[in-house]
Amino acid sequence: MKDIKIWFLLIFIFFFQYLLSDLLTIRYYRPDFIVIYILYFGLYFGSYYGVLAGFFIGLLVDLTPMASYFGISPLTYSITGYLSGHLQNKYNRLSPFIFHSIWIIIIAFHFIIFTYIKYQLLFEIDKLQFIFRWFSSFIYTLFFLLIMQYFFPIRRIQNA
Amino acid sequence: MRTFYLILTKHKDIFALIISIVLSLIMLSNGESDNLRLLRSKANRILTRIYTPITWIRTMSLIEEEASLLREKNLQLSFQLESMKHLFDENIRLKQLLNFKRESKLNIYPARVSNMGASPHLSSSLSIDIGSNLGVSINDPVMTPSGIIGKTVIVGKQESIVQLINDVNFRLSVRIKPSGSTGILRWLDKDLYLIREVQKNSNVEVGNQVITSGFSDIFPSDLPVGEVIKISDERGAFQKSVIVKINENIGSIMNLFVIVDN
Repeated sequence: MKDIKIWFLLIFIFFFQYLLSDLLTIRYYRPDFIVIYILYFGLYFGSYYGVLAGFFIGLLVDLTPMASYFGISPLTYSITGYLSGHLQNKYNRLSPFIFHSIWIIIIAFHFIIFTYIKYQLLFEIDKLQFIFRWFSSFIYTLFFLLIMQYFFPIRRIQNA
Repeated sequence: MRTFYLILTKHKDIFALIISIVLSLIMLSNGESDNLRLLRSKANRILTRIYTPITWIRTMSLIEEEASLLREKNLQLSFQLESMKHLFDENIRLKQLLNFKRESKLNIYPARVSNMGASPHLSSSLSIDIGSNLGVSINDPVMTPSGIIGKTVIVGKQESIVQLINDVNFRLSVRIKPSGSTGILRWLDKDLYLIREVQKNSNVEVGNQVITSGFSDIFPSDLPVGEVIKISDERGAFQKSVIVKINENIGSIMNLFVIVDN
């Protein structure tokens, strides 16, 4: 974990998200490259560093001009980092189906917390619309995450 | 204390998570505090500078989009302008026709060109939208305020076919003013016409007006036809050849008059 490159990569991903995700926006939805990185980070370094990385980058994200609730990103990213860290070195112990299902559920959970805090009113008024918002943002990021599996498969960082 | 330290090191991830959740919740509940606003405004200033290139790219793409919209609008307005110009010209032409009808002592009927044929070349006949129901008969002269352009050759009940002056078989007895020389006019080429049988000693000059002679059974006298633009005086010939340019542009006629019962 002393590798400074990983933390620079974290900063790079932050700027990548900040500068380029806007260009990939479809209606209200933009891909969350940071959650992808936090997932990989937790899987590789474990829960503790996953939480730290998630909290740190979450703070940076909430400092950007477009952030609505200050504190929402550290909360969701640190939870994602923690949960993904628990999957560290589990690829060989679990069946691939279970393993892949768990990280997909972690990502879905990240988005459900995020969507709930951001669209509390929508949750009360129109649950169907709320679910649609959550599912759309989740699917859009999952799409990029699945593309990532082609170049950097999760099993590779699990030493499988 | 040692036990606590051992627990802390053993479950440091849980402690880190709890601390981060607590801190996040504190930040969420104090999101509107002055300190946080100050911090965010400073961060905003820095990040906005970093974001400048992206803003520039977005602005450029928007400009491109706007230019495209403006080009489309420009095209629409050009079409509209062309249409208005056309209507303006038509209005002037119709006003001229109205004046001509008021001033003329001939018994004339206005008509509209309904068909000029589908040929890519200039046609030597056209269809008009009046016929025998208005008293039009075969060999009635057809003209515009500028002058004679033809005669009716086929007359139906509600439409007629006009043989135009540029038909190779069309002949018109004309007089050249002021000399009074007469001759037969026929089509030569494009909008040029030839008058043969003009006396060699007649005093014809370029710019002289050409009118109908009145010798014909079809065309009344003194109707305008065109203007002399060239005189050919061949040596050894007994007659002059006069080239005339008619006043009307045959290809763009839309409204005309038929003289009935002349």
